[in-house]
Amino acid sequence: MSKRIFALLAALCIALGCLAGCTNDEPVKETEGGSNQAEWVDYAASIPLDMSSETVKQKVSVKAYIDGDTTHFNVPGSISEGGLLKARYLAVNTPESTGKIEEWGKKASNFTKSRLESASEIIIESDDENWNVDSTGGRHLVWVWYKPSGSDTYRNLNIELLQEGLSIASSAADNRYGETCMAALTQAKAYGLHMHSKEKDPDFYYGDAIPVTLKELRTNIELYENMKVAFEGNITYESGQTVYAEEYDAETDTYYGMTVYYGYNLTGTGLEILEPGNRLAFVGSVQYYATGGTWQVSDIKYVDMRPNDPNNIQLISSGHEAANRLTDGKTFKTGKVDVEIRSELGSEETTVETRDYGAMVLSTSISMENLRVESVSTTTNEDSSNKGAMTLSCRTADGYVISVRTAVLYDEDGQIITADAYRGKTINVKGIVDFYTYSGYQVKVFSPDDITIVR
Amino acid sequence: MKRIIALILLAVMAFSLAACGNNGGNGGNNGDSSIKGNFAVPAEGYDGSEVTIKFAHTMGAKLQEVLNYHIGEFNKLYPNIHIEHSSYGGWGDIAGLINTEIMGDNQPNIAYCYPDHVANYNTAWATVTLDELIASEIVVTRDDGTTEVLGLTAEEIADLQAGGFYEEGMVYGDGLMYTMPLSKSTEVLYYNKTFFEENGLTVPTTWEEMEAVCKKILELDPKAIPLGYDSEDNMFITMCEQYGYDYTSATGEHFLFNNDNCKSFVKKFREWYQAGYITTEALYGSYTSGLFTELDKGISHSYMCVGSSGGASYQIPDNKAFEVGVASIPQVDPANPKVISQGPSLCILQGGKTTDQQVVASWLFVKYLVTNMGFQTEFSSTSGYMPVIASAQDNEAYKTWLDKADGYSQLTALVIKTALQNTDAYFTSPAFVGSSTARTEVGELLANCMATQSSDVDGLIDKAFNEAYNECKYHAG
Repeated sequence: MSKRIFALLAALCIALGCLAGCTNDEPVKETEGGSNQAEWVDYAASIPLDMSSETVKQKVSVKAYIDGDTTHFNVPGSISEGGLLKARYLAVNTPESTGKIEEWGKKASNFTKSRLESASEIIIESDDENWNVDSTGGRHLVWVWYKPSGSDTYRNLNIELLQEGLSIASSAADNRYGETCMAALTQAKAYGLHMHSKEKDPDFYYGDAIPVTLKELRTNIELYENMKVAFEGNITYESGQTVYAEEYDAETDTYYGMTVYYGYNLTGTGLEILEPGNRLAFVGSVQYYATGGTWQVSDIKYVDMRPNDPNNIQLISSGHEAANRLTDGKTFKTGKVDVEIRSELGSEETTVETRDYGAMVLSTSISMENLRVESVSTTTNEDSSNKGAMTLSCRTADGYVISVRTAVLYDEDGQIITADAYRGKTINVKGIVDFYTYSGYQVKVFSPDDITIVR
Repeated sequence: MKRIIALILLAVMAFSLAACGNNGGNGGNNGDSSIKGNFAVPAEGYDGSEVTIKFAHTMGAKLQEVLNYHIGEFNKLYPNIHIEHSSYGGWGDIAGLINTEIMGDNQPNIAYCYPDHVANYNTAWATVTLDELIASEIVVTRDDGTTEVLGLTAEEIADLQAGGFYEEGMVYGDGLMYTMPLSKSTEVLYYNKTFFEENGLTVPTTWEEMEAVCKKILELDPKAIPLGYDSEDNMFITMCEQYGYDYTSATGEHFLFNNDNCKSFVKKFREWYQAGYITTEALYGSYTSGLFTELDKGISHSYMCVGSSGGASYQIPDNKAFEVGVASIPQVDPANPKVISQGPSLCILQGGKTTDQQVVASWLFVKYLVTNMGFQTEFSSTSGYMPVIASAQDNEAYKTWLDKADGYSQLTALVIKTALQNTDAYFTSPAFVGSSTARTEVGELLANCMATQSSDVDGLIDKAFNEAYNECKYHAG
C-alpha cells in the first residue's frame, strides 16, 4: 500500500474518531451503555420532509392504532380502496403487543399512539415514486411524518422509534433514509435506551402465570392486562389462527369464554391439540386488542422437545362439545347480569356491578333460532383478508335486531357463498358471541354448516 | 460504498491495533507460524473468571425463548460466563450494524452470520479463526464437576460433518475455519397433496416433469398459477449448481454468471412465466405461500410452492382445507441432486479490547449451541430449521416428534424429515466481498427477464445480464 493511500486512510480514521478508544482530548457524555458518546443528535428532526421529491406523499388521519410499527390511516379511495390504508412503518420492527406480548412492545405501541394522537398533521410518504406493499401484500410500506402540536417542523416517526430504542432495524440500511436510521439506532444502543438497556420493561409481566378460572378472567379482565395467566377451557371453535375456549360455571349457570390467538408461531403438537372438542390447560398473556375492541389471550406455546414445560399448553381431555347455548334476542341485546368485581388483583374484596349479558358471555358458544335475515352487507374491499365475509342483519323471533357476522364461507365447490344464499331467509345459527364497535354484540359464524335455512 | 467500508474497516483495525498498543486484545498468533489462523488458545484455556459475552442475532421472540432457556442450562456449567444477547433486526441489518460497531471497536463477541457477512468482517481481521480452538485438547472443568475438552472431539467433528454443514465454515479461500453452523434451512417443494391425488397428478422430480405438471394443472384449473417460487436469487443460483454452470468464484474473477448457459435457463423460466406456469415473490408482490394457502378459487391461487423449509407454518391452509405434501425440489439430474443450504452460522468477533478469555468463553458457548442435543433439537422443532448434528436424528424425543409428521399441523416435522433426506445434496456458494451483491443482482435480473415485455427477448436478456455483471463489478471495486 503506498504511503499516500496509507495517509489518506489515516485521515479518514481520525475523522471517524477511530482513535477515541485510545486517546481522547475532548470531553464526551458518558452514556448509560458505558461507552463514551458524542452529543445527542435528534435524528428524527434532522431530515426535512421534502415535498418536492419524487416520492408519493399523502396527508392522513388515523383510523386505528395497531402497535408500534403499524397504523391504519384514512386515505382517499384513489390510494387504497375503501379509504383505508394499513401502514407498516419502513425500516423498523417494534416488539409485539398484539398477537403476542414482547418486552417494550407496549411502550413502543403507546409511544407511536401518543405521537400521532397529539400531532397537528400527519403525512405518509413512500420510499420511491410508488406506493409499495409489504410481503403480505396487505400493508403499505411508508415513512410516517408528523408535526407536533405547536411546531412547524415535521418529525420522522420511523427514525424516532429507532432513536428511542423502541425498535430494531428492519432492512433499515436499504431505504431512503437508511443512513440516518442506522445512525439513530447506533446512538440508541450507545445510550442504552429502552430495548438496549439492561432495565426491565415496566409494562411487561415477568412473573409466573396466575391461575384463574375463565369466570374470574372474564369478570375482572382489566386487572389481568399484560399478565400471564393459566386457565382451563373447552375449545369450541377455531378460525383464523384463533380458538375460542369456554367453561361452565354452575354457580351462575353461565358459560364464560375467552378468545385465544395463536398466530403463525405455533406448530407441531401445539397446533394439533388446538382442536374444537379438546379441553386444554392454557398459559398465555392477556391483552386488549384495540382494533377489535376486545380482549384476548395470546403468546401461547408448546415446546415439543420439552413436553412437560409448565408454560406449555396441555391437552386435558377430548370429546367436549360446544355448549352453543340457545339464546333469545331480548337476553342477547338487553340482558343484564350482576357480577362481583374485584377492586384489585388478588383482593378478596368485591363489589357488585351490573353488566351487559353480552359482555359476560363474550367468546362463548351460542345458538339462536328463527332469525329472519332482513339485509346482508358483504365486505368487498379487495385488500381485506375478509373479502366475501358477510354481515346478516336479522330480526329475532322476539323482535330484536341482531347481527350475524360470517367468516368467508365456501361451498362444496370452493366457491364463496354470497348474500343471495341467505337474504330473506329464516335461519338458525351457531357460533361465538363477538363484539364489533359499530354493531355491538353479534354472533360470529365460521362455517356454512353452522347456518341452517329454516325457510 | 462497500469497497470504501472494507478499506475503512481495514484501516480502523490497523490503527486500533497499533495505536492502542496491544495485540488485538487476544493472543493473536504473535507471528508464530505453528499457529493456524489468528488466535492462539491461552495455556490455561478458560480460567473460570467472570466474563460477559455479547451475542448478536436475528432471532424472533419464539427462538429467543429457546435461547434463554439454554443460556440457563449453559450457565449451570459455566456460571461465570454471562451471555447478553439481542436481536439486530434482519439479515441485512445485522451485517450493517456489526460493520459499524467494528469501526468503533464495539462489536459483539458472537454473531449470527452468513458467509457474505464474514467475508466483509475478514477484511478488518475481525473474525476469529476457530482452527486452534477446535483442535485444543485443554481440559476445562465445569461447575458441576464434569470436564470437557475445550476443542471438538473427533466424534463431535464427525457428527457435524455427517450433518452436512461443517465445511461451510471454510469457504473463504484460505483453508481456515471462520464459522460454525448453528441451524440450517433449505428449499423444499410444498404441494397440494389433496388436489394432486384427486386429479392423478405425479409430484415432479425434474424440471421437465414440473413443466408438464404445470401445464396439466392449468388445464384443470385455468385460473391457477400452478407454481410459486419465492426466492429468485435461490432459483438462479440453484439452477447454476444443478446444471453445473458458472456462477461465482471466491478467487480470481469473481462474477462468472454472465454466460450463455445461464441465459438459457433464464429464457426458459421467462417462457414459463409468460405461459402462466410460475410466479415469484417479486412478481406476485408478496410471499407465494399466500397463493398456496388461498382457498378462494375465484382469484389467484397455486398448487405448488418452492419455499424455505423454515416457513412451513405459513404453508398450512386454514381449517385443514387440504393436506400439504412436501418433496425435494425438482432436479436437472436426479442422480446428482443439488439443493441450496441456508440458515445461520456463528462467528466469533474480536477487536482491540477483546480479551483471550472472552474469545475462549465465546467459543465454549458456540460449542454448546452447536453440539448440545437439547438445544439443537428444540431449535429445530421450534424454527423448522434442521439440526446441524447428525446424531439429532437418533434422539428419542426428536424422533418421536418427527414420527408425528403429517401434512397438517405437523407440517414442520414433515418438512424437516424431507430436508434431512437430502443432506448429501446441499451446496453453498463461495463467499467473498461482493458475493451478496451477486446474489441480489442475479435475483433481480431473473425477475426482470421473466416479466418484462419485449419483442427482442434475447436482447433483453443480454442487457439484463450485462447490467447485473456491471453492478457487481462496480460494488466490488
